[in-house]
Amino acid sequence: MNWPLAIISSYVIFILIGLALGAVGRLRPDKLAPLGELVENIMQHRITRIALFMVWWWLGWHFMVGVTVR
Amino acid sequence: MKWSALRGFNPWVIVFVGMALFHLWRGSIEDILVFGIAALVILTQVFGFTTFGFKSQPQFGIVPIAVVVIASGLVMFFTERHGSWNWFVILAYIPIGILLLFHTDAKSQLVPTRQVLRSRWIWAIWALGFALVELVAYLGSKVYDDLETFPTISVLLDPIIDTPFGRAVFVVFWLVSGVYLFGVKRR
Repeated sequence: MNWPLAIISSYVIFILIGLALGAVGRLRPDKLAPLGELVENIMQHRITRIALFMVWWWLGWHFMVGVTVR
Repeated sequence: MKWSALRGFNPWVIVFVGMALFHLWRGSIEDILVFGIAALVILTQVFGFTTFGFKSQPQFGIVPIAVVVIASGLVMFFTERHGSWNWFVILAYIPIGILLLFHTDAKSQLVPTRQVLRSRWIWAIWALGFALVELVAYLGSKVYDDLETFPTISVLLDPIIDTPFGRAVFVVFWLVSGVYLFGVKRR
């Protein structure tokens, strides 16, 4: 099995699916809530706010400050 | 202790406790600290130990937000990657985050529509799938000690962020997504 190809293709496929989901939310809000509406809804809860903030903050830390690759 | 809080169990609790344990197994001190502290803060929320906070999210004008974001972006782009200036900027976002997000939940909340519930599930499955690919790559790279055959996202992005263009894209993406998620009205 060509592992690098399989892994990198999987990342690309998931990114494309993410973009497609974002587009479906914008074009067909009757089927799928747009990302803005979803974020608005989940950010009502403090646990989710803290969790999303930590994920976002860690990305900045991981790629700009900490050890990115061991 | 409010055990009734478990009734509306938030899946982020499992994610963060799981991540803290995963990094403990990996032996990455800084990641254990970040996810361990985050997991503890989240658990204090679940059990109702920390219910204090601002009554609502503090509102800031576009000018102070733009000044902070542009200044951070310039520092992150022009100073040495992994250097002390980046360390300072990223750490400065913790008090900013506390200020913006540590407000108490509104008494009456928006009821999620069918479309929002569907969207939540689909995005959660998407994130889980993405994380699973990353986990396979990470475990493969550890078992075979081979980062080229089993590239994680960090391995793929690290050399890109080392280039000026890659770093500019990352910094803009990181800051814009932060403003979108935490700083301004989204609709």
